[in-house]
Amino acid sequence: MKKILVIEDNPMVIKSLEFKLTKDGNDVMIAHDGREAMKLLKDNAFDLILTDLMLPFVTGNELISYIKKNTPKTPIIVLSTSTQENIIMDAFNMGVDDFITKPFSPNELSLRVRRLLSKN
Amino acid sequence: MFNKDIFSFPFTLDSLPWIMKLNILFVIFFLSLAVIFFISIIWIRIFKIYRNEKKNKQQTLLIEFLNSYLFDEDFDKELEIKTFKENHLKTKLEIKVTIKEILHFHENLKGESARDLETLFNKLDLVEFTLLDLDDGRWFTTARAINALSELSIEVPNDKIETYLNESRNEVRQQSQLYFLKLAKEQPLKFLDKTVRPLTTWQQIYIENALKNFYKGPAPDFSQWLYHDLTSVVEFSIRMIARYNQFENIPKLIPFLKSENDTLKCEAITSLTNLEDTGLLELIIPNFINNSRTIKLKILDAVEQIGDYEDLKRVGEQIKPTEWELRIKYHNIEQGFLPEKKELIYSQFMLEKRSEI
Repeated sequence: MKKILVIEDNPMVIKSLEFKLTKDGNDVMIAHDGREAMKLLKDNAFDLILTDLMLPFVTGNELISYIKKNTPKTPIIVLSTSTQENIIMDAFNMGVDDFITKPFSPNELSLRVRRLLSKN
Repeated sequence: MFNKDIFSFPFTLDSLPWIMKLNILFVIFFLSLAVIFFISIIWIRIFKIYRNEKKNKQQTLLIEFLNSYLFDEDFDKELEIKTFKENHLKTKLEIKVTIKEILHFHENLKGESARDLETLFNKLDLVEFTLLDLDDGRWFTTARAINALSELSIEVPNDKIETYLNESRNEVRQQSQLYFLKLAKEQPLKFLDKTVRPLTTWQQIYIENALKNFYKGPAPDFSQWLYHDLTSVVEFSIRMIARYNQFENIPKLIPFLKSENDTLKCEAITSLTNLEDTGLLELIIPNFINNSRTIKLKILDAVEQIGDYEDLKRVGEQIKPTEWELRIKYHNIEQGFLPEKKELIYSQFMLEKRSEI
């Protein structure tokens, strides 16, 4: 069972991701903001991180830097409403493995998660 | 001082003077008002707590139901929908929360899941409820109902929505315009033919945005609205001709350069400039002097974008010494055309300015 950390502040998206990813056979942990995510990252090792960019307390970019510094091998998927090219480019430059824009297709997301997990 | 005869106890109401009776009446009246007010606040509070609790319960139930419906392959869709309809769609509040939650899911999901939600909305008979909302009479309920229909791409007879194209509230008009734009397979702006109220700036922005992001069919020929009764529709069409590079419509824009209406004339100059129409400057420069300040500024913009220094000089000859704003703009453009003489132009202009002051 792969361990996935979902960092998201929209309750509806959280529930859907949790439901879908658990159905796919993963162990899903939820963080509602950047601070909570950092705490979970200190105490747990994850196989994949799925994060939003607009988060309370700690921004998505700060969080990505933190993850890349502490667990550089953990793949990151960004799930964001932003479609601006510079934001997407910035995220890839910081080392994220995939970028999905909202509204998202849960089936497509599930496929991308599986692809990244099998790679690692 | 104190009349002991009047206030000797026990006394009856009849024995009191009229002013005392009036006082007692007022005391009772205001006391009852205060009690009613207090009870109403408590009752509203309790009602709100009860309503919120019901709302939260329905929301939690729906999140569970919608997630299972969308992602659980073992979920018996037909049976569960029937059970949900029978047990959890009884009150107006339950229906309202369900519609809101389905819309919320739909906003965040796309692809197969979004289509599944549209099917679910139909299967739960929420379309009927939305249609009832449409005729509710309160503008916000109507706007919300039209929004739900367009978000979930639910087609209803056109005349049901057309009625709201000319509503007094901007929000209702805007939602009905978006409905037609989002659901159109072709001719997305057909609703403009039935529009009799001017388009606000925001409506024009929303229409343009919806055309770009939601409408997937062929771009309409915007020239068909160049002779619409509303200036705002004509203005919008002129702008769209340039945005969609409809070069074939350039000849149809030329007559607007002679328009009495400055808004339309301005928009025509901007659009023809953006379409880089080479003949434009020959049509507007000779007549520069006869225009208003706004048009003159627009002509200078056009010269800057598609003209050369010779064109600018022809305009310069027609600028009056008192037209300071135009002169400043003229010199700025001149500096752009002759970057090597930038400082000379600046000092000459300052000299002119000083001598005139």
